[in-house]
Amino acid sequence: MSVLLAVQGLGKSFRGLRAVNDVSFDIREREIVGLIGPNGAGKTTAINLISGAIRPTSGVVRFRGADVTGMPAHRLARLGLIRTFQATNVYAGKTVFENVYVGTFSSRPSGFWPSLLLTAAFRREREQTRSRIEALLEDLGLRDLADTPAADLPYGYQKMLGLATALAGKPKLIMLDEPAAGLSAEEADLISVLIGRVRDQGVSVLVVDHNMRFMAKICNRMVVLHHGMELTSGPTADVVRDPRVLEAYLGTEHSVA
Amino acid sequence: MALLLDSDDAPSARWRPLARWAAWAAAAAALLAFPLAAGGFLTHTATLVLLTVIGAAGFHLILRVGLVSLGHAAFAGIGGYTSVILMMTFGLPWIVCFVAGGVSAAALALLVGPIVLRLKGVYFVLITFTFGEILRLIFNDWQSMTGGANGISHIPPPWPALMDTRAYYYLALFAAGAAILFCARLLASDFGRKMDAIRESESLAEANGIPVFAVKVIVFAIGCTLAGLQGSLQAHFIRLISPLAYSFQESLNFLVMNVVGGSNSLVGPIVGTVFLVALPEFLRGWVEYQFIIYGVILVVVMAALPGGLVELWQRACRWITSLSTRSGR
Repeated sequence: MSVLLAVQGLGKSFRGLRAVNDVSFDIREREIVGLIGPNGAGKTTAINLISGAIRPTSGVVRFRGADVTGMPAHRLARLGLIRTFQATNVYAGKTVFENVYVGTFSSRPSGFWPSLLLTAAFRREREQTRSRIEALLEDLGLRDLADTPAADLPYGYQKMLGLATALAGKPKLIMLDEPAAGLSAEEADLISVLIGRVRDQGVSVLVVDHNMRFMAKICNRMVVLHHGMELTSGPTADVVRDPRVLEAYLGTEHSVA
Repeated sequence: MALLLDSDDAPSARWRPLARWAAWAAAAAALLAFPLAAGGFLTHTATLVLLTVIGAAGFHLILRVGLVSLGHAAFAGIGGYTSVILMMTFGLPWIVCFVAGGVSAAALALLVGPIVLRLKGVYFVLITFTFGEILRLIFNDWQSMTGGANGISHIPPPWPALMDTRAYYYLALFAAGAAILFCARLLASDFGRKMDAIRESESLAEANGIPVFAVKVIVFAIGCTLAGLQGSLQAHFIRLISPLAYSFQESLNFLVMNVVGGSNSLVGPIVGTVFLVALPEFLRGWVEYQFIIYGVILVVVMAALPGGLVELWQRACRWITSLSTRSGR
């Protein structure tokens, strides 16, 4: 398994406050890596740094062998690194189908004129895209909702739609920021099954979430952040038993028990 | 999905294309026949509406990526002055001047766009307002070139034949039709989908591989180009150009046209323009009350129809559909 994403010495300071400090880890192909840590540990900042939403003050991010440090998010998306957000993952005014259609942009030719002039080649390509979207919606159980505005969907379906939109961009690595937050146990289970299937299709996954039950179930490996620094990392089974991790989450008093 | 695929999948849609074509044909026939039936004053007003629609559609495009440019009228001014000066001082043929009007507005937009578009929300509104006022002051103070506050009068029409208001109406109709067709096609294309995605959420759009900043710069340039073309056509129609016509109030008018008509579809600015350009022409008898009437209409529209006057039509359609399904049962 070759390394897909390599993060070395990643750091970000906001006016002296070190939100992320010297974080290094790898993600290999077909691997699900969890990024965990208490509130304010810098997990979302780390994702923002890797995905190009903000520029790191130090460190190097390599994706598929190329240095992509500080590259704008839209270019990374076209290279195959796509992320989701904690809150907004759907275009509320667009239908389910249209949402996923926007997601396909990062995996399709982006010419201005072919689409404007509706060339034959463009229409053929769009027809293929349409079938691909329908297959994806079918696969995720959203087919019947294709024409429903995203704003009218229940929260769980919106989460699912956000995932579908990200997958439509044909990512090599998908970074999910709290995909199970606010979901019921059943819905979280559904998402975890889905993430496993995404991995089986050859996509690597980086997940941030607080739900340890959910995380322990899906992650091959975990990286633990605490106060912006890497506390430990390793196979999931080792990390969840590490007393330092428990301590970081619950405080020192609990670590003995 | 219907818009996306340019054809309607709904089972009841078989009769719809025909009805739609009939409606388009009727509208086109009415627009073509209008000057023959109407008098000079009405034709003059209609020509103004058609010309303003071009700028309002440009404003609409910029609005569709979530931006309000209060310098829009100033870009119309750039187009107008460029065109008029080239024609009257340098004696160039009209078509060259007209194209130069659009190109100069586009060039300026591409020059300032990458700077001002780094600002978001109210800051973008303020910087475009400031920029527009700077341009207006230049129009006002560059006496030797622009004629200062008095502006330039006795501007020749594009061709002598276009001295006739009716003839100019057809030029305006052609230009407005072309502009609207272009905007409609743009908004329905993948590029238009990217624009709408940006308006809904910039960060999500960026994460979905859309080059948000580049799209905004292009849209800003296209919108300003349309304003420039309108400025040129309008100057040669009114045959007078002065800084007054390109002030901040005129930019604000473009915003009001879009809000009153509806800012979610291209039909909005068309309806809004008819409303806002035609209304004052008919309210001339009540000049003192004009702005009060305006204000009342604006408040009523914004309170009752957040989607603009277009929403009234949509509601009517839904009501008719519900009636017909009820009677069908």
